[in-house]
Amino acid sequence: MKRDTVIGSSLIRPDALAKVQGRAPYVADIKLEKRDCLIGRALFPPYAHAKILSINTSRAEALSGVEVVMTAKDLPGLNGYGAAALDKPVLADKIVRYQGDPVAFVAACDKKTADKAVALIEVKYEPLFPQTDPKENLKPETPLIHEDHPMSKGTNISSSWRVERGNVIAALSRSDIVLENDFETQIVDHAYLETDSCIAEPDPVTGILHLITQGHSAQLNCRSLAAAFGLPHSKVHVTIPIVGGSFGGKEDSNLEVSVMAGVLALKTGKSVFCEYTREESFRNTGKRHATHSHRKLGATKEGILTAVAADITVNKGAYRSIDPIPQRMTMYGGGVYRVPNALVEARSVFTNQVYGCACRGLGVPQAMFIIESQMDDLARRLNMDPVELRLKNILRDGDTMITGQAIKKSQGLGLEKCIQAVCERIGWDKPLEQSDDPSIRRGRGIATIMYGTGTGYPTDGAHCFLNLQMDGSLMVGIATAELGQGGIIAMTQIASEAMGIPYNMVSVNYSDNHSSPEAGATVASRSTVFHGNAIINGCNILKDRMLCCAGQILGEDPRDLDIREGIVYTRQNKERSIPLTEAIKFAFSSQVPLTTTGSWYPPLNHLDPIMGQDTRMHTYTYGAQAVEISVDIGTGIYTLDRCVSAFDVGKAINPMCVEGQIEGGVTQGIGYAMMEKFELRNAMAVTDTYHTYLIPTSMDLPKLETILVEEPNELGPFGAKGIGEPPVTAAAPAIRNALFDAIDIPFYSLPITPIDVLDAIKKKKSPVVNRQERAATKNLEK
Amino acid sequence: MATVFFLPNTVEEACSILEEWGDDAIITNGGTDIVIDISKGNLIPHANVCIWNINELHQIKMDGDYVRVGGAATYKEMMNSSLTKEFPGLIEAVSQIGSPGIRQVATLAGNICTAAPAADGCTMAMGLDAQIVLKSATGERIVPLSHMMIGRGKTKRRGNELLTAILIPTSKKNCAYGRLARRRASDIAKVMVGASLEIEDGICTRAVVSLGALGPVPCRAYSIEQKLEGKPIRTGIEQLRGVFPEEAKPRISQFKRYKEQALPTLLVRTLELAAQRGGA
Amino acid sequence: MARPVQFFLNDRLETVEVDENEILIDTIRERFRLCGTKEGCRTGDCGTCTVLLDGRAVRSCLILTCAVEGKHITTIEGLGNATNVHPIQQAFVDVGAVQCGFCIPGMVLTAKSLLDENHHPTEHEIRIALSGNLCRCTGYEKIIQAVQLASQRMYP
Repeated sequence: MKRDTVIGSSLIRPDALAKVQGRAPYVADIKLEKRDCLIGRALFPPYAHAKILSINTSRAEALSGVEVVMTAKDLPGLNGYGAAALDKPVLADKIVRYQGDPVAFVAACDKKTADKAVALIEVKYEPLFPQTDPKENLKPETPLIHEDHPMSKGTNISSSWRVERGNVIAALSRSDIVLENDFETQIVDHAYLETDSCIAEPDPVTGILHLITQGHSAQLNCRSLAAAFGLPHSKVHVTIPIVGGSFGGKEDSNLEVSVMAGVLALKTGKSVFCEYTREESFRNTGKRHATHSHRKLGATKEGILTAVAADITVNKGAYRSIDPIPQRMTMYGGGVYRVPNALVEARSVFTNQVYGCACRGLGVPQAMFIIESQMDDLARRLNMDPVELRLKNILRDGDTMITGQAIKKSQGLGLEKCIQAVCERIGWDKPLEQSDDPSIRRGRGIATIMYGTGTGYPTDGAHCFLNLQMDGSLMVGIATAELGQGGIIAMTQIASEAMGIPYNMVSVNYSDNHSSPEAGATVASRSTVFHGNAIINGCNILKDRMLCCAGQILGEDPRDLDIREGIVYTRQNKERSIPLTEAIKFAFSSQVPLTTTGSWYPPLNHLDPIMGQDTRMHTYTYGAQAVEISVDIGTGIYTLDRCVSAFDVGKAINPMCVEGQIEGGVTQGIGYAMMEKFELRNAMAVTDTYHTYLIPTSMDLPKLETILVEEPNELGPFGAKGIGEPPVTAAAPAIRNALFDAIDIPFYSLPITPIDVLDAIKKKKSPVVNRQERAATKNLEK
Repeated sequence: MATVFFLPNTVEEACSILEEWGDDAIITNGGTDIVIDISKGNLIPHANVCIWNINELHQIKMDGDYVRVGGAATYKEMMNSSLTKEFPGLIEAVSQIGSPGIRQVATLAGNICTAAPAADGCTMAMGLDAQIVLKSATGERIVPLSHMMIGRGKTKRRGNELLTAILIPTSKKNCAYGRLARRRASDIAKVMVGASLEIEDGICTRAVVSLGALGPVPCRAYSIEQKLEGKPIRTGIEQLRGVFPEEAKPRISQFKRYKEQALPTLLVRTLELAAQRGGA
Repeated sequence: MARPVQFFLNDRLETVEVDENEILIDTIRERFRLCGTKEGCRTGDCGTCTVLLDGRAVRSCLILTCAVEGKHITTIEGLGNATNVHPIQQAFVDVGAVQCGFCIPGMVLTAKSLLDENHHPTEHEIRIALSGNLCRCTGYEKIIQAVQLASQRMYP
């Protein structure tokens, strides 16, 4: 029996052909087939913070074609929903806390009529001062954004965390070098191409409300919304067809249109479709959090890190949404390094602006920008090569993070390999070729990162339904949302390998809360590992049952049997085999169940919440990225010439999909570094189109060079680790460090646009020189 | 209110429709700007005269001392025409407008009539001292592009007139265009400079310099032209180092400082490129 | 008011009555229920609504339906089907250029327009051609590879 494996094979994903032919239906496409669907639209306030004095809907209601107009008094359930806290009002009642708080909903026969009706609603507001500065909102005398928040009582703090280890004050006072800097990171939009949309259909027979929507977990959508519908979870049926990009955004941002469609459907008894315009999607939906950090880094004159102290304030925006940002920014406060002393504190603060939600990386892009930038400042101070400095300090087998978690080789520890791989590919040891053009300065930069697989919460685990069929095929019910990452093919490959059947015999029923159990969301770079392991464990249960049956048929000890390509065979004598279908028939006639639940959860996290000491993640993905840039010192415009990335993914289940994740993530990181910034004026969005909010185009990128490193995670499915988010985290510091190298100017805020670069060059007192020129000057001084 | 839609096949047909509807009609071609307003419901014109089927207006041909770019010629057609390709600055400008899908249908005439502040094609055409042909049912007149725009969104075109051609003097082939944007494609530039230089024996006999995104509409930098004319071109350009043209009046915005910092550099670079193309 | 418009949609002569201010993407999606033409912005910035107008890639959100009288419009549905996969589509599938897929019909049609005009584009020419089609998933890397592969296969 040949030992073919689909693990590590770049199988073609099943959705690809339908997508290239335009036949794959997204939510808005499914709506096209529903002829009598009403269209729901919302009225949003012209202020970010205001009291609602009165609402008059009579003119809107009188408009022909309008089915219903709803305000807060007309809701079927709780006026609150949300992924982590039910703190976001379905409809604003008395107060609006940001410009995306809807004041009224309309359902009408078509969009034109609905929009016309929205325009006819008269609202009287009393504008209030928009409280947009998190630092101000921390002061005790500042009014509360939420008078009565379900989780944050009597303060504007949404969440906070601290990590303390060793004695920072003593260690810093003993350090030869202490760097102290302030860093700012900006708000970023996910800019997924498919705007937020949902179809809600009430079932008159069962009373079930069916939502065809977007999201990262059908179960999470259901839990976040059911109270607002006044329905038990069992009567909120959520299905998530393929999603046109999300990157964390649709984990809860799409709840805005879902709750609107749902309450309108319940009110009218008819199907309702709600879809944000691009402008609404930009203005209203969650974003990557803006942060401010004050950070001290101590080191010996030999370049050994001694201590880190950081104080971080996160701009939460109006609602809690997904908010482990303070926790993530503190747990990764030491970066990929051994730092024996640490005190990192962070808190997120409510403000009157668009809320921060999960955005590919969940606080880690911000954390890594700060840490890796300061590492290059330190290298410069020590006159040491940035790679040499990193290699002196990186976590190695047995070292502990600032959370006290010991890093183990058995979890997969390919950090050094990643650094070596990018250095070798980019030619780090060779001098960078400079340009003949006198206005061009070239530079090179590197950054290294780590990123845990999973949410790190005690609730983190996954379950799936497996249903073996009489013909030897397998139905897998698993809550993996297909956001574009290749979840379906990854789950198919894992199930095929684990069950021992050809991959085309596996069918994955993804993203339906009625046909798959809770598995946690397709977030936190966790699906491949968590969902994959649940499938493997479930397949092992079914496999054991089938081997017992086959053993009885063959007269062999089941322990001597295995399944490959749908054949049960004896390991010692491969001639002795039967088709799996024979074993299944035997099982069926012997009342052996063909279905099971598969489950997996990582080792328990030992948590010390006071000191933030824990073992939160069972494994970490590591990575390094090196870039080369050219800066035009006359205009500030700089070009990314090369971008080499290496990530230790444990095991690439489908290498083509893994490369795709890396290339796409790296590109988002490049956008974060070079151009992306969601801007507000008086807490109202300014950048609400694709021509004001810029993301990278094909012309802004060099060829992206990607290297896969595979250091197996003993707990991962076939050794795998997560790769969804890690790639987004390294580009910003790598580019920042390359700029530092090229023009000798360190930047401390993102993004770094040509406007910022030119301004910094103009402010610089000394001439703009690159590394080689600096080296030459130094030699002269010597 | 409803819109009456016209799809004329000839200039005469278009002019007679405009004669009837005047200011109540809008003229569309590629529609890349105005259709956004229409689809959002912000603009419901009484009449829409779509001129993209008028074949003669797509022509790019010689007309005495001018290259005549038809009023419906798209950027793509300009990028492919051997006549407009003689003006490297013009190609630099139009090939960086929007994206290929936009350039396929968008026109220089539309760029001029929209009178937007940051218009690459219009800025460069002004730097070539282009002349505009406006035709009505009753006659035809020629307006210098430099005088065509009278304010943001406002031009000298009368309601009954059709912009039938942009005349580009063949004497302006030593030209260059520079733009600065935050992104490499599909981004509106923050600073735009167009320039054409006529050089005889190293002496600049005629300079035309235009600026875009530095005021309500693209404008000429006459002060710069004066500093260049009659001098050896190299010397003239050298004297402009660090000079911020008085005609540039960037409005207060987050980009104002950048415009101030970058314009002198871009101006000199654009002039140097034009001079180089002029053999100096 | 409505105006009858006749045009070729995927090589079939169609007649529809549309409002004078209706844009082509709405006609294609709502009236013909061809859902492969995606709506990403309605401002001409993203390229997901790309169709071919007389063979050239344009944005269907910036074109009034009335204006396409007599012209040929090709949507992604006109390029191939499940049994007859266009070589550009096959190349996108083979190299793994598809992730969320929302930009892909527009990318494929833009690639078609490019390759019709230029059988052997350089990487830089491909980057220019695709520069108006935003993709948030792939970093364009495998999309560019797909266009190169399609070029090799179609014009060896």
